[in-house]
Amino acid sequence: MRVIETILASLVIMVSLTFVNNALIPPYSPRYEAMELEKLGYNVLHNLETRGILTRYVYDLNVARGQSLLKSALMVTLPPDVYFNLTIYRFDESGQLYMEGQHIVYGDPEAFKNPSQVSTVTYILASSGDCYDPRILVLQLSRR
Amino acid sequence: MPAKTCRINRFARGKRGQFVIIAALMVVIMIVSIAVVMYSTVSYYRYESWEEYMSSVDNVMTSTKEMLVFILANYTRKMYEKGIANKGVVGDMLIRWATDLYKAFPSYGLNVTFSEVFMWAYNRPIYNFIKCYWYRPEGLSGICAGAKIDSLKFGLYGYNKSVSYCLYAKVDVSYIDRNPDSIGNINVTVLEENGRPVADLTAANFEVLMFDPNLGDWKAVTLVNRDYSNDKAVASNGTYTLEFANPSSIQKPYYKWLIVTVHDSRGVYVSLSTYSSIDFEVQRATPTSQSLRGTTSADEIYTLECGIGGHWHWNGKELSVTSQSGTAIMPPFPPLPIKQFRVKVTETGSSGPLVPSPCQYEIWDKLNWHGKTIDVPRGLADPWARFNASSRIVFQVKFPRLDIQKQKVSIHWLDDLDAPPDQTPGDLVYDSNTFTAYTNRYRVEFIGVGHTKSPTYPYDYYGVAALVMINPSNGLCFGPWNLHAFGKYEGSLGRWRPYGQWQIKYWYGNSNKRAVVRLIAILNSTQVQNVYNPSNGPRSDYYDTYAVVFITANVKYLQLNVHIYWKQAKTDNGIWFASIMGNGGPTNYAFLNYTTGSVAGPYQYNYTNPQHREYKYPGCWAAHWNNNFGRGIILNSASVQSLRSIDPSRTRFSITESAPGGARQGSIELEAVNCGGNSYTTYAGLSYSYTLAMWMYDGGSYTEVNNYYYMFLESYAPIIWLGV
Repeated sequence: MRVIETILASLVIMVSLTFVNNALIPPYSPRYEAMELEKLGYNVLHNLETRGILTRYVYDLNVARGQSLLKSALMVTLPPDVYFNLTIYRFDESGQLYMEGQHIVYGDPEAFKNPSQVSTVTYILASSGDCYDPRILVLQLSRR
Repeated sequence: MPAKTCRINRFARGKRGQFVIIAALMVVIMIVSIAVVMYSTVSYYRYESWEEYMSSVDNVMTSTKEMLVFILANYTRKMYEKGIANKGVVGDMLIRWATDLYKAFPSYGLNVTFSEVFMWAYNRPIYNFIKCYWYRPEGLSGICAGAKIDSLKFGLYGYNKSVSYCLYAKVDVSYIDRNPDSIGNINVTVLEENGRPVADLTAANFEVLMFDPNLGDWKAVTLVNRDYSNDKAVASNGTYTLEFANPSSIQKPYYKWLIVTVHDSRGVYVSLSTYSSIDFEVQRATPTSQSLRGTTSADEIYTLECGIGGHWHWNGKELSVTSQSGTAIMPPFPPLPIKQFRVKVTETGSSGPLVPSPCQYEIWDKLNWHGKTIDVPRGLADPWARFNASSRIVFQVKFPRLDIQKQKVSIHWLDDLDAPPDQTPGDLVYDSNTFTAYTNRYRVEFIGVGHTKSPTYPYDYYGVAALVMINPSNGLCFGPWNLHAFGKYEGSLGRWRPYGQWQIKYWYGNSNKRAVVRLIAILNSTQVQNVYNPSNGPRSDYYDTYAVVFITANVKYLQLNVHIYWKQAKTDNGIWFASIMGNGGPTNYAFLNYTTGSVAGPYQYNYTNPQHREYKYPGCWAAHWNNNFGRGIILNSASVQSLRSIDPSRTRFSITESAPGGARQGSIELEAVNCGGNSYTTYAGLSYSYTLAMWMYDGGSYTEVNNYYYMFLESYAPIIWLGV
């Protein structure tokens, strides 16, 4: 009888632990979602760079035109239910970062106000042309 | 115990045993399950961090690769366009890149360090971050670096990765062996890393240069404008067939000498050359009979200069270029950085082995000097400048035996763009502190403005430019070699002499690379000075002097080229083309008689009854010597004529046996107008030039000067022979 009790007690403990574990880290937690969005954002930027689009638009001498084209490219490449906010930074002569142009935003700006719902990807472009002039792209993503 | 009871108890014990086993199994399963659950619970965040870490590493490495390609593209483009690129900036740029990465990913605490690594690509080593192997039928541009990434955020350190990128190209030169009359296309194979063909190029990515004999320069060949997207050879092995717009535009033999440059879509350049050396022979033209030359010609060493378009020079004379067929064309020098060139020569005849010979790179100008064009060196060339019409490569060819008629020469170029200028060890040294040039045959101290008196000669020259000749073995001074002089001062000879400061050309720019064949000293002066009384000068109303001295390694001679231009008419006694002091050392002298062609002398200096003695008809050489040391002054034919050009009846070889104050002197002098006669009046615009060589030998007699003076005469200048 004691053996049966032992078995039952063990089962109860195991089920409890499993339940607790699942309750603590649900498979579809926001963290998983954030990771998925980060991967998505990185892949999109990398893909655009491989095709030469990213460098061409980011280094367009007409900043407004380049950023407008870049927004279109991101809208086409990212799923429609993903909002994005892309900011481009560059270095000044003293090595300090400053923002180039405007924020490139698609979707509801409210979606980026809750940091726990937003994934951020930082991507750096080496240079284009003769001069050393790297650009840092900070892409925030949020699912609708 | 009854049998039934016994069976029941055994059954109960057996049943309890099964539960025990089940319980044990359950406990084990439970423990294992809990362990798995606990592990996944504990390692979940670690797994998540690792993904993020790897993602950031990927991002950093991807952008770093772009950076490396950017650096390689910029470096090779500058090498292609300007022939020079600062390799030192590569390390600086990578440090800056590492700093910017840190700023770009502030939350990661990234510390990226780059290091040099050694890698191979297409059988060539890549190190020092960048290596370029160009200007041969195969070429490569490559970059490699090792990256070490630490991340404070993830607590992960020491991620190492080495990466390399390259562009390789090869031009198919097999058509040269087929010897067609002309070619309409050439094949160029273009590959990148790991042997992958580069298949996205168009004709715009290629440039083909050919040497245009009419232009005397390289010109681009127009290519048929096409892309190669459907070309199977391009897709399979990266071989492009470049078609010339004019199918017969490149005729024989000019198709042998092409420069092909390719750049890929990343902007990385490679330059190729269809040839890698220029080969020819140098034939001596001096007499080889023992009656004229003695038994040896061990010191018959020519210092040759070669320039673009097959122009060769020796002792100021342009050499003849010829071939057996009479139609052979000298291969052009490719327009690559001049420091790449090297020279090999044979020493035992043209069939002997080629051995490296020191070479140096000079830049020459055709200067309009008082309405006359003079060919003068500007100095050592910028080693990174491309070989052009002003460039000359200087090297030496020896004829150590009288039976050697020809020596083979191969001017080739190194394909490593990091190659320094040739710095073959030699005996030529210049000490700027003592203004002295050293070879193993002689020492020359440059006297002039800034260094007016030699510690080895007791007279101050007050800024007069001269060369103090010193015996290298014992430091004994033979006195100065005066370049030019005019007039007398209270009975002393050669009053007005060129005044100024020597410009010494021994170093390549501001580098520590030095001349290995010869030092060049230039005097460009508009003033003269009274060497006996400085309160009279310096004065600018006499004549201008442009003098160039070549102090040459490994030989017994030094050469001097002088141009004189008179600005005003002046009257005085005597014009000297050279007065070479003796400091009392020489005991005998002799000279070659211009009219008889035979040796006049030898004579003995009479120091007991010292005088200035003049002899008529000076010819191609004069010499003075003692038992240990001797010096000859050798004039080429043009200089003899120049000496005779002012007043041939007053041309003299002369000697002076005492210095001012009565000290022993023992000079040899060349007087265009003798000082022993009436005064002479020059005129504004009087101009003359002369080329002299001083032969330094072991004395004993004049024989050695008489044996070797032929090599400085124009009619005995060597001949350049092309192979066919």
